Amino acid sequence: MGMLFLCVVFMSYSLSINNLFFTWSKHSDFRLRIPNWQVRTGEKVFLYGRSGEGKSTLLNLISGIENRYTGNIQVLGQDMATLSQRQKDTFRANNIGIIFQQFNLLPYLSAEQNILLAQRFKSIKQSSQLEQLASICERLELNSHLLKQKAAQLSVGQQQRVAVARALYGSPALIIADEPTSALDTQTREQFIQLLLDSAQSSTVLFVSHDMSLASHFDQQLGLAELQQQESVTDVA
Amino acid sequence: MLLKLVLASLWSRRIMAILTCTSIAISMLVLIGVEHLRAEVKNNFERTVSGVDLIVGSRTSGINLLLFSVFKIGNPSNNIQWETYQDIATRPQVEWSVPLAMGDSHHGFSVIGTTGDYFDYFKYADKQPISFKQGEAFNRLYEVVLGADVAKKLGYSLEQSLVMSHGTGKVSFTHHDDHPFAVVGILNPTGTPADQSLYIPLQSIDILHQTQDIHDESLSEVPLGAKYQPQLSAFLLGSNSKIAVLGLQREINQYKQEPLSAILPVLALRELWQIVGAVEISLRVISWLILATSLICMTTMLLASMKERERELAVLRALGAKAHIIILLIGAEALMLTLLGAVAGYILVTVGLLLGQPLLEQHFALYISPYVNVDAVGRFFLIAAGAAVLLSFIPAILAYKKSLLKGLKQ
Repeated sequence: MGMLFLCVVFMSYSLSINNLFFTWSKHSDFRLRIPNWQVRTGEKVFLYGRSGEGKSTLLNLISGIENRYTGNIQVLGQDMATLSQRQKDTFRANNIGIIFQQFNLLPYLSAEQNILLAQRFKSIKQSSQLEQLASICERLELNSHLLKQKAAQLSVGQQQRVAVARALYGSPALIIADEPTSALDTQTREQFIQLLLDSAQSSTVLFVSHDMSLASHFDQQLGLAELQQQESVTDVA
Repeated sequence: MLLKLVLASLWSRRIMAILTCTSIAISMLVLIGVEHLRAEVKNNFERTVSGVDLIVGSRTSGINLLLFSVFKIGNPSNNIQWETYQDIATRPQVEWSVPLAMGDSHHGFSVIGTTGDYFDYFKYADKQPISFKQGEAFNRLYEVVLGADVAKKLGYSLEQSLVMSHGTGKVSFTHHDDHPFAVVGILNPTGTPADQSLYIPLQSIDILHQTQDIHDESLSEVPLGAKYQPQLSAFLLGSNSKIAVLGLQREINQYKQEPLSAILPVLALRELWQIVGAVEISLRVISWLILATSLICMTTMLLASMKERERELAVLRALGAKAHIIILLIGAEALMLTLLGAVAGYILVTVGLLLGQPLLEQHFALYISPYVNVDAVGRFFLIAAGAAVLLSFIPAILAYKKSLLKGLKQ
């Protein structure tokens, strides 16, 4: 409880970015520049961006997968630059749930094994996980028959639900979703987002998409272009 | 969990995995097979003759003398006169001597004329004497003792009557039909060319080539040197002193009355093995190259599979799998494929030997044990496993670097 209390006090921001600059190489045209951006704990943020604008790169930077940047990124109060690659991996396993666009699951494992896989890499093994798993699966309408099936045999919609279950399992403080709905039809898409947001509860959700029509489900809507333009504002200030 | 992951992942790519395993199994089969054959042939080779200090024949090369006297391959260049044999055999350095006369055959097996001393003095392997499985040595003129293989392959038993043929070919047009021989003894198998011969009294060799009627007399009634003074192909000598052997060898090589050659069997065997040795080395090199090829093939397979596994590894990375887990996954896969292939190769060799051994024995007179030397196999396994793990670092490190970025970009 004490731990949780501290978290609430010190981590009023789940994500805090200052003067971030990233480029692939000196000769690359691509540049990602975010002067200043904060996401409050528990907030559900929709980040809009066109293809190639750098959405995935930004998510890679936040989750500690891409390291070649200048500036400051703090995730859950932790300065990512101070962590070694190993520590980043553990940090990610412990604190971040990730949902991809498609291919989220290992096709040769059952749905249940896929969900439990996330536990495998955590440094902190929580108890009473099985109860949590049962409740998540119930919320996501994943019945025991479905859980026993190989991921490859599931429909895309079912796969996405399993992916959400895995991202939620172990209650990570931050959930990152990278265009998770692009493979779904409109109706399923709405259901999926509602499901994700309802299940995420107290977790912070960072949802990245190029589809503006989904924005209304979220507390906050942002454009990546908008974030980058703040540069001039900061410069002036 | 990790092992489960490796197995499940492999199973999902099972066709590729099975093919890779097969290629490793085949290369292991070649490697183990060649090594085993080499060791067994060498062993067979070295055990052919033992406890004999000198082999003497008419002037010829050492290898030729060894080949025809011990391996029953080829022919003597000339015969040795009885008087010469007597002269040398009675010298003080000589402890025992066994005369050998070749040139006749029975269904392709060589017939050797000798004395009863042969069964006492000729030794094989580690100075092991030859022993009788049934019966005893010949006592009469028309009696024959069979080597183990002769009795087994021709299905002969004691008291059977045989006819010898002239010449050493499998097909002969001259049979010594007038003089049938009775089987009085069958030898125990020795795993040497001695199993492939028939032994008759030296006196009988002479009789075979004469047309007059001679009764089946007891050998003691027709001693050698009196009525019978057969020409010899070679003779074996034993000496009581190792130093005397060298002096005796020189004396024989410089024998005035007749050109003779005397060889030390151990040295001649080594000389012969050196000729075989070049083949041995090239066979070994080839089998190692085959193993290297299939391990590199496996690495290529792993590298190729990295493409399709990019997403899979990206998922693991996103879930927080550390670098060592990715490297471990791929290393474990390589190790598993290699060991599985190696074990399959080992089983194939053993099964192949069990099935093929009778054929080898029949056609090449090679007694190859079906049980492979476990030490050598263990060494091969370790080397292959080590190489596989080292090679798997290439795809593993590439995969680790790629999975960081590629996966999440989609």
